[in-house]
Amino acid sequence: MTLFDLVRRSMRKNIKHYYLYFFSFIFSVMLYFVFATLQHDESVIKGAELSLRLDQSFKVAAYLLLAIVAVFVLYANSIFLKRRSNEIGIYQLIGLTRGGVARMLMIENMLLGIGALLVGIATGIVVSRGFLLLLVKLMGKEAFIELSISIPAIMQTAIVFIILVAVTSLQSLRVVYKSTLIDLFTARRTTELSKQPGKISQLLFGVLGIVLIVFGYWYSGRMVNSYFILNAFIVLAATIFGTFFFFRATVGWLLHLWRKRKDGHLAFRDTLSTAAIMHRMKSNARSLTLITTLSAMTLGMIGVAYSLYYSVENSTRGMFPYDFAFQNQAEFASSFEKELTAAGISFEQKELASVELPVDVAKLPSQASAYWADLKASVFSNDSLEQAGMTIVDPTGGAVLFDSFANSDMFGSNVGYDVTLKMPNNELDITIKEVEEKLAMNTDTSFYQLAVDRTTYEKLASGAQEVPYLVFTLGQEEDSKEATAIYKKVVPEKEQRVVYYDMLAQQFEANGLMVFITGFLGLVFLLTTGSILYFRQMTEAEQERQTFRTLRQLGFSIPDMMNSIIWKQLFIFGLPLAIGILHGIFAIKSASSFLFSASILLPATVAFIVYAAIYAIFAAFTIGYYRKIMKDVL
Amino acid sequence: MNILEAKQVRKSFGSRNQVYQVLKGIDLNVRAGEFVGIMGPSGAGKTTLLNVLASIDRPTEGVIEIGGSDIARMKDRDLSNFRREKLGFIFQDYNLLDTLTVKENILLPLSLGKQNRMESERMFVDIAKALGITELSDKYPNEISGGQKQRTSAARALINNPSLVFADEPTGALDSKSASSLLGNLEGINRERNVTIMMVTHDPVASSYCSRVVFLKDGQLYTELYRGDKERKDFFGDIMSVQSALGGDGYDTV
Repeated sequence: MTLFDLVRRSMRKNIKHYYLYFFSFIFSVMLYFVFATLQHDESVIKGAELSLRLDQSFKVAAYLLLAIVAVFVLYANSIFLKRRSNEIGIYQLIGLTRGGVARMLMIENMLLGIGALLVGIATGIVVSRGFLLLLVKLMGKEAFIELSISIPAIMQTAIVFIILVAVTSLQSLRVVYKSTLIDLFTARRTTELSKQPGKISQLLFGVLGIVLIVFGYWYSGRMVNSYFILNAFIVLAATIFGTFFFFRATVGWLLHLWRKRKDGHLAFRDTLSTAAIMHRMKSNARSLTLITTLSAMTLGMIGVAYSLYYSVENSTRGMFPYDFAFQNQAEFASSFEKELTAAGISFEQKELASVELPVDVAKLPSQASAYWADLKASVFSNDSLEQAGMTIVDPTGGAVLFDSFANSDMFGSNVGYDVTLKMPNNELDITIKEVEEKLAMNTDTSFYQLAVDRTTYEKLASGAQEVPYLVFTLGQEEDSKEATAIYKKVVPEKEQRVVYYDMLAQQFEANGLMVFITGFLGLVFLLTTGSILYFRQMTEAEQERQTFRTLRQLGFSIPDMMNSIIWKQLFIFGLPLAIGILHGIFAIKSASSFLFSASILLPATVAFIVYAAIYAIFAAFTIGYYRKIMKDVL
Repeated sequence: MNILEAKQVRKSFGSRNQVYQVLKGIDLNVRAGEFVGIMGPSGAGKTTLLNVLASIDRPTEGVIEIGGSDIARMKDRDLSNFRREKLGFIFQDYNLLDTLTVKENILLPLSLGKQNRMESERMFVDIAKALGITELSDKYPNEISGGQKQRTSAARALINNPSLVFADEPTGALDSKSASSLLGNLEGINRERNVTIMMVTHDPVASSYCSRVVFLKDGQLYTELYRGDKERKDFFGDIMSVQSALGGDGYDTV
């Protein structure tokens, strides 16, 4: 029998173990390929060019994906090797040289890798179309997507995975060359025994874990100042290490206290759950921390991206209160009006005016660190704004400042501070009474926008030129496309200003792409963490075979045991999820303080529920696997 | 009074065209308070018989009644409850749960039950004292010796006052000193608490602690010996002579 025959036979025999490894490999290839395809897709590239932030997010996402896929494949391979260690030992025992075994594993790995690569890319080609359609829909485009097979994506995927196969081969070689026969034969049975906890050091680390997490949460609400990057790093480090200590020490210590109080009288439910968890807490701490951190990252990312996407309309409207605005362009406005009427589009037209004055804003906290030489303010009177359909706070005795990013001011509110308006012959100090989180007028300038009462306005207007505006608001949103076309026809290109609907489409495109990237990464993280937990639990279930057999012989029924196992899974899957969600909530909260103002409760809740639901599927699979083993043992 | 009655118990393995009959119609009655040893050469069907009698395995044919209930006809769920409440088990390799302390392991059979904590504690203290493992209660199985493990396993089997305890080669993994001390404990418990014990062993020394020894050969009862009022040493001699007559592989005829 040649080595190749041996490979063939062992692969056929091992298919039951292989399928897990094979599928995780295929699955990683597929997801990576889909992402690579999108990376090389024209419309996505164009979309990403919309902003630097997007372009960078895309690159960061590509690296993150690569990292997670690599970790996942290596992890799956290590579990796979552990399950096969007995077999590897037997080959050596019956006289195959280490070199022979190593060659055998390499050939297997290569066959497996190439197979997975082919299948993964093939399925990737099929599903990438679906992902692309979803992306286009999220971006609010109607473009038709044709399925083209992206050669660069195939190349990129192939290179990445050939490297990964090489690394996993090295991993297998290490197992063959570095482990003794006895290691190989006992690898599947070894369960490290945790020392009895309750020592002072564990108590200290346990408390430290909680303190670090609480500190991280507390600090996350205060990190927005000039040391933002450092602060963000401190928060991250505090929560991650806090989580690790929490799993490693706090949980074990709390369980230990609880168990001590039981004094040996455990309920049956606790034997397979709590006792088993305590037993493996130390080795589980790292993976639970990884999973919690990834979950928190995913939830934070998706929560923020989805909230931004969700509030695109609101935030765009905040910057563009009117569908169309004409400044000093009465003749264009009137032909626009005529064309709209001719096209049968219902609309409302309002007139407004402002005074534009140089302004000194040095006293505003939001400007503390910035210096602008020639700042100008557009000042409106509140009654004219109200006439145009806007409701604002009464500015009598001061001014209302319009600032669509008011929420993102890192240095606190501007309320109560003075600005100085410079009229041609004198200056007027005016106190900000209130900040409105929107703008009073569509603008493509960086002018400050203020509203004052009628008397103050007249005083300001007396010495300066008034700027007249004509603003249009459509009756029906469905007409927006046609109206925008008319606007572009009527107004010569260099006189055109940014139109609300164009801005809205652009925002949808950018944020849609962002939602897609985070969602895709989130999905990968989720599937990876879910699979890692599932693999771990499978290994644990295998190790507990004898326990299950004993318990069944002693007369515990499968439902009794399953009841206990479900408790365990609730803990194993539920605790990282719960803490991940908690971390995620604080991440979103701190992000929301400088990123956006819109409602985040609903979109974030939706994201969390979807995440938890997919997670629950993995828990269900795990429970199913345990049931299978329990039935199997007797 | 018979605690166990087995009639014409048969057990075969294998598929239709290649059936291998391990138990070929065994009749066996065990009276309350007996300490029965089952001996026989390898392959005689000792462990299969024990498993079938202990309801861990189902017989192909035959009737097995324990305390008046026919266990061959019980549903799985009822059978589990029956095993947990009425039977006790001691295994060759102890089968303690690594994740539980000695005390937790011993209290395991009560963990689903209705006993209150005071009562369970009293039962634990009793049995731990009888087996001399009170000191070990907070240790984990990997921290104690084989003999101690087997006492723990015995305590677990005995804690809920089972009507019948099954022991499968309980001394198989023990050195002779630990083995004789464990057997002494079992013998004592059998006498003082009137617990019925059925033990599979291939060790004539172990079976000399029994009140009766049943010999199996090729899936059938070969003979049985009663100890009566004999000294253990004399009974051991009787067992040895039957064993020589029985022959079979796995035994040296001395």
